Amino acid sequence: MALAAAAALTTGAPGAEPREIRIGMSAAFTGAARGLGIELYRGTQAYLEHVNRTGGVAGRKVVLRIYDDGYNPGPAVTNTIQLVERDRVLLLCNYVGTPTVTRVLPLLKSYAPENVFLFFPFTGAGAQRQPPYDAYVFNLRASYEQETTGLVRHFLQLGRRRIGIFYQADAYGRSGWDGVRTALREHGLKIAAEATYRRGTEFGQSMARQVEILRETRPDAVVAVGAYPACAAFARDARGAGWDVPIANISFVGSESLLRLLDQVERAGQKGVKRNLLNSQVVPSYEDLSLPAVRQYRTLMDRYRPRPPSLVQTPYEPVRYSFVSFEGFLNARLLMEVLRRMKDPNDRAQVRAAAEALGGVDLGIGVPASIGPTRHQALDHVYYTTVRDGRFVPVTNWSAWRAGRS
Amino acid sequence: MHVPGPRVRSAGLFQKVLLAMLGLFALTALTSGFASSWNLEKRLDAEYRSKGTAIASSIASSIVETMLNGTSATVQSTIDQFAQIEGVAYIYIEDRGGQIVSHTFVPRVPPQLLGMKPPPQGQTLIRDLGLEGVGEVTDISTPILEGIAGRVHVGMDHALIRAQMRAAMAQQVLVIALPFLACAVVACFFVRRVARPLAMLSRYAGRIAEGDRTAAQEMQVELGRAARQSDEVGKLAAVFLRMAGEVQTREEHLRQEVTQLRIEIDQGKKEKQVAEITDSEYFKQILGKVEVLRSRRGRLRGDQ
Repeated sequence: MALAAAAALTTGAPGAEPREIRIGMSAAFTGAARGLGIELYRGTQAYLEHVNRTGGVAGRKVVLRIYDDGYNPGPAVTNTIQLVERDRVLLLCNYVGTPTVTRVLPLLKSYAPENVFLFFPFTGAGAQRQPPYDAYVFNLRASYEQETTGLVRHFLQLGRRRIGIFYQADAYGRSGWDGVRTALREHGLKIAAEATYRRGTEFGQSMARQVEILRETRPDAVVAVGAYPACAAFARDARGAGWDVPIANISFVGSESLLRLLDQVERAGQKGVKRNLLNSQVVPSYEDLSLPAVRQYRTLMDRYRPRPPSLVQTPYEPVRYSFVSFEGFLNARLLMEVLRRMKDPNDRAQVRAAAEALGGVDLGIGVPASIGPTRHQALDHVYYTTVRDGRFVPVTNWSAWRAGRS
Repeated sequence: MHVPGPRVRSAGLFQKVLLAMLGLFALTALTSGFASSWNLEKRLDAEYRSKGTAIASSIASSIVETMLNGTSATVQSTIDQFAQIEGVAYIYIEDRGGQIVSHTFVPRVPPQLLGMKPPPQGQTLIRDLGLEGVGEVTDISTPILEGIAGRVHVGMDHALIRAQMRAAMAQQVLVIALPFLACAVVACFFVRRVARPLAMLSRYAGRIAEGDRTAAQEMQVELGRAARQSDEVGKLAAVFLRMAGEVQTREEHLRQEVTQLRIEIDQGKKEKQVAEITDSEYFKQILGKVEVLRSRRGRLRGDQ
C-alpha cells in the first residue's frame, strides 16, 4: 500500500527534468504502534506543506511517498525495495522502529552503488550508528544508549540502585536492555530483574505477569523499553497492583499516545496510573515556546492540520502537538537543508556529500544539529519529562524522585 | 401364530459377530495408529534434533562477526529471524561466562536456564528439558567460535511434535475407519440377507410344530423367495420346505389312516355290543315273550 503525499503529482515528460523530488518513507500506519508512524508523518508533512507552498526546493515540490510496514521487518524490507527500484525515490526517511530498520540495513549496504541513504529513522538503536551500516544512515536523534544511560545515571544519583527493565522482545528492546546493562555495569551493578513482552501487544492485554516478575525482586525503578500500548498496559497493571515504583519510558514510546491510553484508564475509574512516570525525550518539549522551532512547529501544525494518511484504515484521532510529530517536523527541516545544498536535488549521487557538508545547523531548538563525514548523528541531547496536569513537562525537581519518596 | 424366540436368538448371534468384527477393527486401527505415531515421533524427534542442530550451527557460524563487531540489536535481530522457523520454541545466546545476552523468551527467561552448568567447551550438547512457561523442549547448544564467544541455544518444541503425532494418529485411524465403515455396511447387508430367511424358516418351523396347517399357504411367497436363493441359505430353505411338505403329507396320510381305523373300530364295537345284548338271558327272555305275544296275536286273528 503506498500513498504519494502531495496534493498534486506533477511528473515530467520522459526526458524532461523532473518537477518533483520524491522521498520515501516506510513506517507503521497500522497495528499497535501506528500512532508513531502517523504522528511522525504528520509532523514531517506539516513542514513539507510549508516548503511546497513557498516554492519548494529549487522550484520543485517535495513529495513524500509512504508505505505501511505495520512495524514488521519483512514488509519494511519489501517497501524499501519498492521505494528504491520502482518509485526511484531520491532518499529514504522517517523509518519507524529498530526491528524494521535493523533488517533494512543490509539492504542499504547492497544499494551502496546506487547511493541510497536512510535519513533520520525514528529509532535510537546502535546498529545504524556503528560500522558497517553507519555509512548509509543519517540520524537526527540521540541513541537509546544515550537515553538509557541518562536515565540510569539519574536514578543512581537519586539513590535508586536496583533497576529493573521491562522491554519488547526484539531488537528494539534488546537495544534498550543493552543500554541499561552497560550503564549499570559502569557502576559495578547488574540489572535487578527483567521481563519481556511480544511486539504488537495491544493495550487491552494484561501485563500482570510482567509486573509480578519484576516486583518479586523489589527494584527501586523500572526502565520500560517498549511501544505505547504495552507500556501503558504495564503502568496500568503496576498501579492496579498497588506498585508505585518509578517507571521510565524512553522516547520511542510515544508519550502523548501513552498518556491518551492512561487517561482512558483514569476515566474508567482507576486513579493514579500516571503517577511516577518519567519519559526521556530526544527533542525539546513542544511546550517550550522560547524555542523558534517550537513556535514554527505549532504554527504550521495549526495552519495545515495534517491529516493521517489514507493508509490508516481505522479511525484515528490526531494529536495536536506531540514529541513524535515535533521530531518528524525537525527531521523534515534538516532534510530540506540537505536538499537545498544539492546542485541537482534529484541526483542520488549528491546526497551523501550534501548531508556531510551540513556541519552545524541551527534548527531553532537551542542546540545545533551537526552532521559531518565522521558524524552521522545530528543531536546528542536527552530531555527528561514527567506528567503534570495531564501533560508531559520537563523535569525540574529531581529530588522528588529520590529513593524513599515512593 | 407368531414365535419370536428363535428370531431373537438368530439376530443376537449376528450382532455378536458384528461386535466382534468391530472390536477387531478398532484394535487394528488403534494398534496401527499407535505404531505409526510412535514411528512418526521417532522420525520427527530425529528430524527436529537435526533441524535444531542445523539452526544452532548456522547461527553460531554466522553470528560471530555480529557479536564481535555489531550491536546487541543486530544479534537479537538475527536470532529473531531464526526463531520464526516452525518448531523453534526459543533461541538464546550466552556469553563465555554463561550470561544470557540475547533471547526470545516472553515474559522472562525460565529460571531453570539461569545458572545451568555449561557443557564442555567446543561441544554441541543436546538435552531434553521441561521449562517453566515453555513446556518440554529439546535444547541444542552449540559453541560460538569454539565457545570463546559463547554458546547459542536452540529449543525445539515438543508440543509441535506431539501435535503432529496426534494428527498422524487421527489420520491413521480415519484411514482405517473409513473402509471399516464401508465393510460394516456391506456385512450388515449380508447378515440381514442370511438372518431374514433363517428367522422366517424358524418361524415356519414353529408354526408347523404347533400343527398350523395354514402356515405353508400364508408364508408361500416368502418361503418361495428364500428357496430361490442360490446360496446355502436357499438350499437350506428348499430342503426345509421339501422336508416340511413331506412331513405334512405323511401327517395327512396318518391322519386318514387313523380316521379309517377309528371307523372300523366303532363298527366292531357296535356289533359286539349288539351281540352282547342279543346273547344276554334277558334279551332271550324278551325274545321268548315276544314270540309268545306273536303267537297269541296269530291265534286271535284266526279266531275272528
